[in-house]
Amino acid sequence: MSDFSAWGDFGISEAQARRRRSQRTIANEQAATLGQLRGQRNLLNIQKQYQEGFQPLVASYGRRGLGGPNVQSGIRTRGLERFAEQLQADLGAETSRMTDELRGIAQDETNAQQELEDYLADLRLQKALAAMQSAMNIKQFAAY
Amino acid sequence: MAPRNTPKPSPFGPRLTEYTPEKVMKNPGPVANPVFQDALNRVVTRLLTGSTDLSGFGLDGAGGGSGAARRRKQNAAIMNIFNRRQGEANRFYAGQEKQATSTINKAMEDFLASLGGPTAYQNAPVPNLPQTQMGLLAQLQQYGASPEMAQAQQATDAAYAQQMQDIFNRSNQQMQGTDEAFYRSLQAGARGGQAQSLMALANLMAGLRAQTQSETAGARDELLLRALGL
Repeated sequence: MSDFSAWGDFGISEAQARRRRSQRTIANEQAATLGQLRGQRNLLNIQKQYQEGFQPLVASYGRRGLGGPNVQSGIRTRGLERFAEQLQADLGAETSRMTDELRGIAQDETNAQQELEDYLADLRLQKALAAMQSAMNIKQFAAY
Repeated sequence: MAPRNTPKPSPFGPRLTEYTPEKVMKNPGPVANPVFQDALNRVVTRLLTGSTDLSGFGLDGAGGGSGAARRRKQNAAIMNIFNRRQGEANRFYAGQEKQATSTINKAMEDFLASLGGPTAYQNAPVPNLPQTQMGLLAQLQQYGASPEMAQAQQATDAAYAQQMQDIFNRSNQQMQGTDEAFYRSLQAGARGGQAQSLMALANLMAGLRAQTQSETAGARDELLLRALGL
């Protein structure tokens, strides 16, 4: 940041603050994009893992005599339902993780915007006060 | 504030304005001629009242005469000159004060116009991704299993995410209120600075006026006494 007074640096402080804000936005956008890609990949992997594991699970019930064309087994039914429930829970956890990550990035953007706005407002206040003080001080030399 | 300039020493000694009647009568100082001191006291008293009539002090000879009339006319001219000078000085200072006041008020107006209001937390986005549905619905139905447990799990996850979103939205609303209070404090600070600058300006101009008036009166008194031959 410039060492000059609020507006004696001719807007350098404001320009630097805006530039930092833009850099932070770019970084957040990149993080959000990469996070979403990673999350989507994870979701697909989870779906694929459970899809591929479904038939072996059914087969395992059949080997124990709990499945087959002429067998109606509550144990197998409950097992398959719990398997589907677990899949949904894993998908929900990954979605929650993605949401938390995205929410953190959005909150960082909001906080960064607030910091910028507050900084610029304070800069404008310092400028106004300096102008008022100068207008008064210069009259010390108003000798008749 | 240091004095703007130091008055030149008068050939008559200390400036006449330093000799107030009270001061002189209390502490007359080394005066050789008591008649002169008495006349001086009365002259000073008369001048301090603002009067230009210095007749009857026994300084211009017995009675009046053309010399006295001429002296009165001369004194009146001196008073007129310095009164006009003081009036011009007052007008000058009034103009300076008006200019500075205008600048101060304009700075305040520009600040309020440029300030705007906080917008960061106003309608800030809070993401809430939709829950992904498990892809085993057809397989479950094939084996006579129900997707209800999975659907219940999905509903629980969605409700939890909605709760989190509501919490974040409320936080952002509170932050918006905090920011608005901060902006109000900035406005109050500017108003305080404006008032302070205007008060300091008024004090400064009053000091300058008083100093000019004092110097003008001192110079006037010197000339008056010189015109009286003192």
